[in-house]
Amino acid sequence: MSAKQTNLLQGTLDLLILKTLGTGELHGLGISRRIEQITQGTFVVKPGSLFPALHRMEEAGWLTSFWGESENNRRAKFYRLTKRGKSQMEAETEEWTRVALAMKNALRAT
Amino acid sequence: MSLWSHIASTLRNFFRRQQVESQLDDEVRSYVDLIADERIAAGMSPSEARRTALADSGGVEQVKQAVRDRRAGAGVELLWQDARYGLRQLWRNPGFTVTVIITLALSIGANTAIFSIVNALMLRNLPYAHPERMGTIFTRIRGPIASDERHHVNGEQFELLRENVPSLISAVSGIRPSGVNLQGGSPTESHVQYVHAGRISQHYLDVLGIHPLIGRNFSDVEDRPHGPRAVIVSYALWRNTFASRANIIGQNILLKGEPYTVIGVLPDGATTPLNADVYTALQPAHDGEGGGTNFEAITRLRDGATWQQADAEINRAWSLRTNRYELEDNPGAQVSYYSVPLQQGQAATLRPQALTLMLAAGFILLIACANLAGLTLVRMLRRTPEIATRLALGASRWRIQRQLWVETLLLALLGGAAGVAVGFIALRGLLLLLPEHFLPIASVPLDGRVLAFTLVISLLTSVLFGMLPALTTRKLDLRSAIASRTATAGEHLRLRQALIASEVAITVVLLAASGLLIHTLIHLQTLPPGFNPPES
Repeated sequence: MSAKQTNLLQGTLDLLILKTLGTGELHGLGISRRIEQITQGTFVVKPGSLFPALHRMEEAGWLTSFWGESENNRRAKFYRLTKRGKSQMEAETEEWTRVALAMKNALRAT
Repeated sequence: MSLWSHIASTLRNFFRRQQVESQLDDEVRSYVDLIADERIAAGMSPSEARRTALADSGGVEQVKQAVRDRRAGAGVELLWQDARYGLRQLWRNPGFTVTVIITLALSIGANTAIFSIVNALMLRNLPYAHPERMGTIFTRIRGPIASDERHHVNGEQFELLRENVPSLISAVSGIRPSGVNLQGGSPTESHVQYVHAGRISQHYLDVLGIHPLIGRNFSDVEDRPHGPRAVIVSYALWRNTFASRANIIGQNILLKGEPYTVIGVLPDGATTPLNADVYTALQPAHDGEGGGTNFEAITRLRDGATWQQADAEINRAWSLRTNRYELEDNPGAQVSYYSVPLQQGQAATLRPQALTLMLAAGFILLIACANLAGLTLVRMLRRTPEIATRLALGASRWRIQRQLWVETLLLALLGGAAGVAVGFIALRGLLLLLPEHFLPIASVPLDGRVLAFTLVISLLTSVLFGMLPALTTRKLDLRSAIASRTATAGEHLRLRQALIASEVAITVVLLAASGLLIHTLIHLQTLPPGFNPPES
């Protein structure tokens, strides 16, 4: 596990999950590993927050799930982006970029 | 989140709980297994790998609970749990539960019954086409003896109304139906039946917007004094007495021993303010019966006319009369006439009684609430240890509060449901007690509005009698409640005594008030009529 872990900001987790699923379907552990990888270990998602988020997003219609086989032949539940999830990702990415830029400028100004 | 997918998820979580739960279990376990597999592959012993994988993921049950707490309909699920727990609690205290439900059933039932009458009299639309275009005429007298009420009209008034008020279709009827003997016309039919006969003028059914099912309305000739005797029968009478024979039209039947020709049958469900079984032509005249105010007028606004026009025409027409009886004992008075919606006009005389009864019933409900508040308060004190234990085990105060409210609500709804049944029976009883044709309506149904009313007062009672106990538990001191187990501190006791004392005081006031209201009602009913009625 990574030494330095940062608490996820509210709303960040959803966007990260949408982003990781943008490249293809993954199971829970896969999503968690991939988030760790693309944030270079800054964010480590525990199952206690990962699964509630996945289920909530599936209920919102952003994701669909299906049962499949993992790399080492174990039954696992995979998640995939839906059309609505994709547009949600685009909307949230835009919003995040805007906020991040604003924050960056604000911090530089002082 | 789209509303539809939220609802769908809520329903799925609720009704296919088993499947949802087992899938959740599989998913979380497979997550742990995948981590364990990796660690075994990296050289860890299988048991060690599983143990660390479980520890790192924070426990299967905890993860599952985290998902459950956030999924759609989690609130509904908790509510359902509370409701089941509440029902078990009520079941375990049958004495308390039955007392509360019976008290509520009686008081809510009384309110339901009386509200049904108020509803039928004043709120429900009259069962006629375009009831908003139907009216009756009020007389406003300003002078030494002022009054503002519906007057009966005489023959001259009706004639002026019919001839000189083109904005209205006007009709009159006898004041109430009379009981007559009906005998099938042919000599072989000796069967005699007691029926209610109403007397109506030519356009009476037109004003009500009723067209005979078969046959026709009274004609001009039949409504003239000494015209041919004709009768229109109600659907129920036609079906029950005349076996729905279509050839009844043109046949003679005997009313009070005199032959009348049947000219029409009213459609099924058609009712009139007279609510009679047979209708004969009124044949209004200037003299005789028509010389006095013995008719009751109803009107319908013609298309394109306004009530203002109609009122102006009535005032003009009736000021031309030779017999202005309004001025006889009231010289110099100013008399004017105006139209009033038919429903309001008909309910006018019963309005004070009905509203008084409603108020009295409301007081009874408040008394019941005050008593139940005391009862639930005592029960809540008995449950202090249970509540303290739950709080000590980590239940939030909000959770406890909600539990108590859910129980109160359950009681109120059960009481409300029983109240509808009691109300139904009470209403039948009440209608049997009232004199026949006392209410100017054919039926008093328990319709949607009455049920909605009952639901609202049930919810209201739950708030009224649940508030006090719920407030006392809010201030529950956990340490002393656990330590003393039963008795609580003296300060609390004083507060409670004050509450109970004020409750008793309020109950006494309410009881006195409703007693007085009922007394008023009896007084209204038994006012001396000003003459000696003949012994019947």
